[in-house]
Amino acid sequence: MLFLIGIDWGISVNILWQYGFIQRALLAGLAIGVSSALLGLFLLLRREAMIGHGLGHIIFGGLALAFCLNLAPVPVALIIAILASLGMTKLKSRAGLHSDTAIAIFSSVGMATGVLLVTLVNRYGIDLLSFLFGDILAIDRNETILALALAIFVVAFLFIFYHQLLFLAFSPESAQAFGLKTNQLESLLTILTAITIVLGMKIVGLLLMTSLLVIPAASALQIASSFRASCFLAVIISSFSIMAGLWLALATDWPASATIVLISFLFFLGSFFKRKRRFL
Amino acid sequence: MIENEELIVIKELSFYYDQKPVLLDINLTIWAGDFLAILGPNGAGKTTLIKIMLGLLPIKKGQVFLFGQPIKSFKNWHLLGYVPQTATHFDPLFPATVEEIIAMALFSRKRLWSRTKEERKTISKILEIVGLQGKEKIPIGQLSTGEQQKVFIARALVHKPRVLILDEPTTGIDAETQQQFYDMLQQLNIKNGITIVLVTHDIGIVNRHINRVACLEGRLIYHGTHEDFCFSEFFKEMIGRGDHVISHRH
Repeated sequence: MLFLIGIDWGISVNILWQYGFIQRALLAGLAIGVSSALLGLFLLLRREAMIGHGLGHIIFGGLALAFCLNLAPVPVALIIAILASLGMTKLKSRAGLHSDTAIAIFSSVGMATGVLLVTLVNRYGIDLLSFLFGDILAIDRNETILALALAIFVVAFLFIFYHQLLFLAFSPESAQAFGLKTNQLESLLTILTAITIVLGMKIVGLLLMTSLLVIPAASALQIASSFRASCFLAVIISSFSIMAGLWLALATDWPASATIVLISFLFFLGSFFKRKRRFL
Repeated sequence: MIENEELIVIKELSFYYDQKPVLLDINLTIWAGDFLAILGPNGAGKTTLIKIMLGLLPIKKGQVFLFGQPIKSFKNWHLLGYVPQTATHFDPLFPATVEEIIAMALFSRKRLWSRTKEERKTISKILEIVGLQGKEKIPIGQLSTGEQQKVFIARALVHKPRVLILDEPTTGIDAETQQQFYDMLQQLNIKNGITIVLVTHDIGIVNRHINRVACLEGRLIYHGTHEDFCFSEFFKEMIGRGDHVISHRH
């Protein structure tokens, strides 16, 4: 318990809120947290929990390409991520592959391309590492606005297509027979996931982005008795993890990304034991 | 319901998985008011045939017309309700209530999260029809297989289809519940005027509820009325004894 000694428990939220970089971190963090929690629910129910991890590897390849060509990294990563997400959906339907196989193929190709490019130009720079591990306190104004815009778009998308997406997650064949455009819905869901990961890589980093997509949603699914309740719970768990993680990171000087992820895992443990008690 | 209205017409339909023929030269018409059983052994092409009717598989040879329109230009898919063979094979921990399962179909065309009082009533009413009144808020995973199947029928019925297609709906359901289930389908057919297409292995049901039979073994080897079927060679072959043709219609 020695690590608790160094914590400044008296750090005031009011004082922290006065700093612009903390305001940006909190707003962008909450925006990405809400988007990932909601998208994550649909991904988990479609058994595509690893899509975040796979897209993260692909985006690494995109970032390496941007660094090699001296281009702006985020737009390049975004384009590569969207193309790859569409490619995965196509490969799945055309080659009759399961989701995990398509994700594995694309993610390994993305990672291999990234490693090759980085090695060829011999530039494993600090910039690339910052995308891998994230730095929520270094988020600028434009990135905050983009994250907020994404959150609004994701919430609107889910509000409009809520029943269709739930139908698709629960029973894809019946949804298709019902006349829903399942391929288009799947592609939209994957593209939004790709955009969320690209914008979230500054917050928790590519390597930990899967956690924001998976852990709050998985925690909510442990205890919710309806899908609507799962949506609210996932958003609440994600938001609290980000706020508490950020506060704890500032109080302790721990890395914010890792702290956010570990706090969300505590929520998962809590919901797991609550569920276990309910079924005992 | 228009007398002798042709709802589904299949003409010279053949289907192949890779090079292997599954359906050959099928000609079949389903009329309004039919309670049609599609019978046949495993691998006879029953599921493939209904998937083609539902537009889930492409037509490789032949033609299919739904409500008088070629299937390629058909848009009114809500006129067909479908309960797939794997309906009850979902994750039992899926966090959806009975109400949410039915709302998937009811609201998929509306693109809205919220529900009005009237739409809630529609859900309650449809649950009453399938005998699950008052179970709106129960998570689907907590129901028995028979009850789950009724929820999926309710979901298929909620957008008022004219044809209900069911693929082996009584798999894993005990005999008593099966009987209630088929009685419910018969009520839907007679009282609500819904045409029913049922894929089944269960020859026993043939004499109790249906009015038409189609026997499939890659080719359509029999298609006719229930009465004719009961005295046909096919039926004698299927039950193995020609002198036990029981007919007790409700």
